[in-house]
Amino acid sequence: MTSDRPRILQILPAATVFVLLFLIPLGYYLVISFWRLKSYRLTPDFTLANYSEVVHEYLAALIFTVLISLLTAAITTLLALMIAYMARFKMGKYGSLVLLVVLVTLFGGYLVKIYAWKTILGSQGILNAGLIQFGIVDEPVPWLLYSPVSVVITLVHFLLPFAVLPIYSSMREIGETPMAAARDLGAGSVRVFFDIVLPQSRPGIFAAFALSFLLAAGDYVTPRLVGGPETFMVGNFIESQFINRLNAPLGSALSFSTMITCGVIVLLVNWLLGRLLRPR
Amino acid sequence: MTALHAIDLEVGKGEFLALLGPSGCGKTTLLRLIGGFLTPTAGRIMIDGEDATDLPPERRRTNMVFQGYGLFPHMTVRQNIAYGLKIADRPAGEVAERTVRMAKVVHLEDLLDRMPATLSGGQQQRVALARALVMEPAVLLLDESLAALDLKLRKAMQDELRQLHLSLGGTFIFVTHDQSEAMALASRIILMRDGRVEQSGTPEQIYRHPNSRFAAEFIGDANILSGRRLSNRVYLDCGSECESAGRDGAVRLMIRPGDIHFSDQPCGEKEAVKVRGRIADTVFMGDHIRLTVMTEAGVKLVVHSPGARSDLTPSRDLTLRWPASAHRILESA
Repeated sequence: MTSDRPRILQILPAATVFVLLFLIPLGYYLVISFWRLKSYRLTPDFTLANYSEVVHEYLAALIFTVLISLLTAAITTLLALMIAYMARFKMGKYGSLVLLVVLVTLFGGYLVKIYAWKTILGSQGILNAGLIQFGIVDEPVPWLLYSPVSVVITLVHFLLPFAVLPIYSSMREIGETPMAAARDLGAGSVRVFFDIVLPQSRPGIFAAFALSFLLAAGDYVTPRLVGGPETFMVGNFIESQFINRLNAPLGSALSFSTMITCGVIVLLVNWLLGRLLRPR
Repeated sequence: MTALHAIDLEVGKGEFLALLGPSGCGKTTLLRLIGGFLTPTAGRIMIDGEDATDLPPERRRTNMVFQGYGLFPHMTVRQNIAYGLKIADRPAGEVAERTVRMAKVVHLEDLLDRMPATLSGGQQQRVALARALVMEPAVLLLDESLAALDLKLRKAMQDELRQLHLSLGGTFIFVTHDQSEAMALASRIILMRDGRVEQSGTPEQIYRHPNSRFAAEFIGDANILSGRRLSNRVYLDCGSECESAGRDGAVRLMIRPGDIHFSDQPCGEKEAVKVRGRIADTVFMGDHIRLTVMTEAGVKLVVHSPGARSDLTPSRDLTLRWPASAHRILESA
């Protein structure tokens, strides 16, 4: 690049979109989260009352959301790791076929998957019917649907393709020769996986985990449709503050609290992955 | 498809063996069989008197320096070298000590905490070598290990490898398609072609006494002259003749460019073969001059003349001679 001007021109379109559609709305709601609501009207202010209410009223929901999202992300990442490993190292030329199948499930659509799980997990669903048929249980298992279990199952299914792709692309960078060299130096296939494959897949594993965790933590449709009356995640409360109660300041404060919490957790996970996968 | 035909190969302890041949001749297949990365469909592989045919690579006492090195990109040089010792559960003190000692042997002691990506090709090569040698393998396998280096570095690494072999001992098996590399390193060369052993012997044996036209042309420069044998005398197409006992029929005569003398140079009492010709071209090669001589019968001969000579100019006529002991008659035409 000879001067800075062409470079600025090159990033201008992306920067415009980013500022207009991301930074400005985000900044707007950040400001609003310090305002207050007076007889259903937004009133400029600088108060921490909304954040205080988040801590007192919604901490439990926030913790529950984080836990269920962590569980979802962990299961998703683990399954994605297995699928990506199989596609990259065990399927030979059929690896890309596995990847294609994974991608095709993305066309299924979000709501379709949720309703599919409703019919599978419901008390009249095929899972319960099968369990009764084989005499494993006498009557339908009630907690399969409308419970945290069904939320996790549905989210994992929905998020799996998003998690497989980054891990697979990380694994594509891993050469066959270092793996052969590790075996030559005495490592069995399990050690090759933990010493060579896993550390080098770290960027993909982190991306998969962060993506599934953040998407799960921000979701409010799945808990409403398959979560039942007891399973409320933070997303549901944020939605209700904005839509039902028209309390944008509290909704914004709740959103930013969730964002910061999730951001910190993602950073922690990154640090933890770095420690776990560091060669010794 | 058969990658490798039946091969019966015995390698002595402490040998530096080169598997030499053009690409696709099966030399790398043979090396991977020894290393355990391939399983033979027939036959056995014995290492130190122990049947290793069914052992996976991680349980063989062989270590390989891979083509392209295969360093672990996420580990430092130290971690790369120490990896095999850690797998073998050696005590931490011993691992550290042997790692540093091996790093010194290959002159890497200052680079131990660097990542492989920050090293030059020659340095990466040394890491791969140290990583294999630190295991003190019964057999060290080298797969075209110097091929990626530039000429000067390759020559330096050849010297170093020879020194390492002398000082550390052990059996080295080296795969290469570069005949000069095989000559420079090996105590014995296995020349391979189409999945078979073409000829086996010391570099000098193969150079002096090639069994076939392929061997003659693959190792060193060679002039191949065709001719016929009739009652123990060979009549060459270029008009010369010489004594040679054997079956009547088509034969070829192989003579090295450096073994051919000029008319004004004495070449001993057994001047068996004489060819008259005219210089077609001269190329200055530094330590010798490479002459292309066209014989009267229209056959091209390459001749090396030691030292610069101003009288060797194109279109000069001259007589070429060589003693019968210098050439070799190859039976199969």
